Amino acid sequence: MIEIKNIHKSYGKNKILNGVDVHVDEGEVVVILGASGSGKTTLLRSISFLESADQGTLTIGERTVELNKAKKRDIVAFRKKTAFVFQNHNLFNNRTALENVTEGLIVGRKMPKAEAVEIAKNALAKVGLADRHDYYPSQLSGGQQQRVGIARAVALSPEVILFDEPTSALDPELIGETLSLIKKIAQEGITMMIVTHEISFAYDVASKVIFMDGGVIVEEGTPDEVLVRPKEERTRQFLKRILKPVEFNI
Amino acid sequence: MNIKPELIWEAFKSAVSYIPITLLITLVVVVIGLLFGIIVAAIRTYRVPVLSHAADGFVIIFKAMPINLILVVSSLLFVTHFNSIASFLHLTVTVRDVSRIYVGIFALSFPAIAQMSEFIRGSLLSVDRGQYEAGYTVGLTFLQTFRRIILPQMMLVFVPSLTGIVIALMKATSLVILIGVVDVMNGALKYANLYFSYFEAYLAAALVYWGLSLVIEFLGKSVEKSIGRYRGDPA
Repeated sequence: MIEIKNIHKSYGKNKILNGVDVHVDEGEVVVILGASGSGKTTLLRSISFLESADQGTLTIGERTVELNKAKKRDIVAFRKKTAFVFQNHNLFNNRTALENVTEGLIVGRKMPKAEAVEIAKNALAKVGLADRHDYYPSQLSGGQQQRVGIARAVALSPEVILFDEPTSALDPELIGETLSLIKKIAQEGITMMIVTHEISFAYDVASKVIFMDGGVIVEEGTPDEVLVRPKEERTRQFLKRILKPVEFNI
Repeated sequence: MNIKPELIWEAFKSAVSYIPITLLITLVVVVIGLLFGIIVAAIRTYRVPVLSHAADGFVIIFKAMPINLILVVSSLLFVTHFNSIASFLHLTVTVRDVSRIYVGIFALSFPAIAQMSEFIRGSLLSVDRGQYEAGYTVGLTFLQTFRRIILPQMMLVFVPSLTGIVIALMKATSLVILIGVVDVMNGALKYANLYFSYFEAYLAAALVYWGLSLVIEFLGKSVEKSIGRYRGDPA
């Protein structure tokens, strides 16, 4: 279980998060939607301590920490409960696909090498890259890189995987394969928080949808409640703009 | 002009006999420059409070000064102050016991540290922030991330500049004659002063420096190749 309470964050005078509460049960897939600047990415990054929140508490499992008072040791301990999939994958450039996955297991979690390699091979097989173990990131396509990124997160078997717009840096043709991979992993019961702009994917995969605007949660509920019958005007505007049918004139 | 090959050969032999001095000064200065350069660069890159201003000042001061100026000033300070510092520290050495080579190494180290730290900083900044973040999110500490992920990537950017710095330093060591140390350059000139064969002597010195540069280039390229595997073609 992950619980975030009353999280605040500002850059100078610019308030990015203004008191957000999120509760994620085990096995739940929470999708966070919102326009650029709504604070959704900052929320996700605060959970991994990639941003230091000004106020708020984070609970993962049994442990609770105040986000602005966390010590280095707390931060490392909490980060080991989470995994992060980045928008631009951020694979370790100097490590092969396999080493990208084993790095966190061997160095971060002090796992014996043989065991780590075994887990990493399974994770790469799961994302369809069993034949790319020894490839460096520069030798992989954008979609393959992102799949290694997902394997790296899954292999850590964290309490929650955080996805920060995992498909927005990909070619349109590669978005589909990445989304269906995430969907497949979600069906295994792994807890996830996903920031995305893919509405139909959100509808398919989410057990809960959160719509954020201006640093607060405007609306949350099941995909049907938020995406099909939104109560708030702001949500309706956002969905209308994103889902507006485009007429092609070719 | 009448070039006498036998005088080139004499000057060359004399120059070669001083290669150990040139290489010793260069190598020690490079090692000192690297060690302190990394510290200065890290302080400046990660903006350590207070220290980063001191580091900025250090780099600005020593980048601006000609190396021969630093050498001569260090030597003057050494001659005038060494004895009093030594007796203050209760050491029994006096200025006569200390080889001028150490003064040369001391003086050349400052500009070396300043210059190295600039290149190291540039190489550090060339590694994307995302690489640090990826390290943190898989559970590595800053030091683990730095050593295993950042350092190998920054070295790839740094090594080509390092090769250049080492060659520049090796050439700069020829200035140590100013403080009375004989190296390759001045070793070659020994005979010129006897036979008035300056052209032959400089030619011989140039040959030695070419040779040394080639070796350094070659070493640099091999290091680049071995640490840059991950940029290569599909396995």
